[in-house]
Amino acid sequence: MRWYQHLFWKFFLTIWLISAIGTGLTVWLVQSVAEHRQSLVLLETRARAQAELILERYERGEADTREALRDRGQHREMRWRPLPLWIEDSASGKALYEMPRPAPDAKHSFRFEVTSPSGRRFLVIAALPPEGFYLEKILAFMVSAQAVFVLFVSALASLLLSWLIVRPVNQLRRHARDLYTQQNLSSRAADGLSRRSDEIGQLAREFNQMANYVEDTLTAQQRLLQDVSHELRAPLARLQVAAGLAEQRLGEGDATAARINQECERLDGLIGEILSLSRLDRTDPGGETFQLQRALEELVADARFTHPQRQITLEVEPAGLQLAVNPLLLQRSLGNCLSNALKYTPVESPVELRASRVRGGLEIRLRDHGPGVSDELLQRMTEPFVRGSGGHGDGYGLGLSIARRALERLGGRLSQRNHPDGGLEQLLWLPEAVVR
Amino acid sequence: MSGERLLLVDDDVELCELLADYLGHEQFEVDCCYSAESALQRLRQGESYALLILDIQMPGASGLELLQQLRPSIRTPVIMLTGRGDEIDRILGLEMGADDYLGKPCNPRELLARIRAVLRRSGQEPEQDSLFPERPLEEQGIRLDPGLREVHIGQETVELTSAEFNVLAYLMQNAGQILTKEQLTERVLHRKLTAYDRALDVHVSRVRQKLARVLGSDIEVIKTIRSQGYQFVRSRG
Repeated sequence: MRWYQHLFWKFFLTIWLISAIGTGLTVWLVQSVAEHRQSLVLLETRARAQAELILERYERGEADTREALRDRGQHREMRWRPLPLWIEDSASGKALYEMPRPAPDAKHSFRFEVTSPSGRRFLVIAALPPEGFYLEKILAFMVSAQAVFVLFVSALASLLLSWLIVRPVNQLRRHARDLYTQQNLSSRAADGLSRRSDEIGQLAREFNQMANYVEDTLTAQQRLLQDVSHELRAPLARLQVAAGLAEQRLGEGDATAARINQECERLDGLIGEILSLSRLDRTDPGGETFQLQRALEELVADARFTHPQRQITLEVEPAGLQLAVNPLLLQRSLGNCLSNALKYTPVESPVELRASRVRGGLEIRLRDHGPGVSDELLQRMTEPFVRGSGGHGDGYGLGLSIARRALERLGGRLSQRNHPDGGLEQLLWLPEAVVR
Repeated sequence: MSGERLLLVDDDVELCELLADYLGHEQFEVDCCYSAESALQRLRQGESYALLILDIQMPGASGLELLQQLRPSIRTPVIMLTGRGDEIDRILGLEMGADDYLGKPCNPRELLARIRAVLRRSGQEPEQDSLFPERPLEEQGIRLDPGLREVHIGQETVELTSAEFNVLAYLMQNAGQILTKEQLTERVLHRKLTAYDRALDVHVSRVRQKLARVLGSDIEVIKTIRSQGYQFVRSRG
């Protein structure tokens, strides 16, 4: 996931953007309306004062008002640049004081009446200043202290909000992941989550119900399998002895008796595998420190013993590597992977076993030079009772499941991939904590 | 070897009857006990057997507990029947002094072969076997007396089970030579080495431990020769 694909940042950016634009716009509007009003009041005061001055002089009969006004030196009363004004006699409508231009229309001006000292009423028209450039105003606003403040506060608010939403979701996700990757069936949403009264609380409670259901189902299935297998063993043991008795009577080498024995052994093998699969969960993963090289040599020696014509190479780097786990679990796991590799590859092809330190732990690579496996099988090959084609047909599809479970029991992980140069590569990884 | 008395300890009554029947056809006399407690009682009463066949998984006291109570005072050879895949039980059993193990359920013919092998090497069947030297051996201060089946270091006696004694005797007789696991299994345990077979390794490691208790742990008289086998180091001079 890239950073922008995270729910947190999506929430954060959306909330931030919307709240910053919303707040900023409101602040800006309020501010500009207030400014506008203030400037109108100021303008009217100035226009009124100017008009009153003109009218006063006009009625005193002083010289041409226009000239008088232009001559600013003589009229100290006016401290600002004169505004463009149009003054009409309200009664006659005769223009008293005119600009060269015609008076602007109502939209671009404002009008008010002034009473002259003699009591006559005059209409004054004042031009509104032209509107300022908007973009300029906005840009000016954006670098203003208000805008920075708005951005900062809305960033804080959106951080808080997205954290509040995303944190419980992430917690719940961790529990869900625990449930299937760690095989931790007892993983449940924490109390803090499931006690919430909102939708997240509901989700947490529903997750817990689902986890209960999964745990119950899986435990019951495992127990059933184990009980059935265990109970099957006693009659099978008797069956084998009974077959032996029949063989005694029929004479050794009797085909039927041999066949019964063969099928008994198959059944026994299958039951044994199922039992050892379910037993793994109760095996203690800890153990004393041992030499990895020696353990692997034993394993390879066993494999050479059962497959004397195969070429199996072993390499441990560094040679003195020591592990502190239950060696039986490791040998079980690797042994099953190895016999799987030997079973599904041509007799003349070599099998390479290489153990090495990697960052974060230990990696054992088991590479064969067989045909590899299909992508579909690659996904499913460590599931129970899944078998590849091309073996000798006497397996039960449990070997790699046992290998995976045994390794997971040690805190490790088993994965398979097709090697780019052909053949299957099985990777057994163990965490740093068990390497000495 | 006909007419040997065997004691079969297993909680499965029907299986015991069938096995007694089967082994009876092979000229063994089989007594059955259905719990560890009754077996212990019978043995304490002084009944003697050539061999015990012991199921590990029993309600009440397990076969391992029974074994623990028997050893070292009762030296009757023992074959354990363990559940398949119970490597830990097997190794524990061997370390406690069992002579061999067999996964259960098992082919009765295999059981018969193991019984015969254990009986042969426990000396019940007198010497058609050249395994044992006539005269006492002495190497590295360890004195092994085949007649008395005793091992001494100085004044101390080292208690060994019959399988452990045979391992040590064969290694000492061939001191200085490397013996492969196949050779040792065949000559000492009287059967073929099979894959994932740790019986010999456990016996060797038990012998080492027991010797080290007297000799001190820094003296290594039995060496592991990597991917070849074991060797008893010859005394200097």
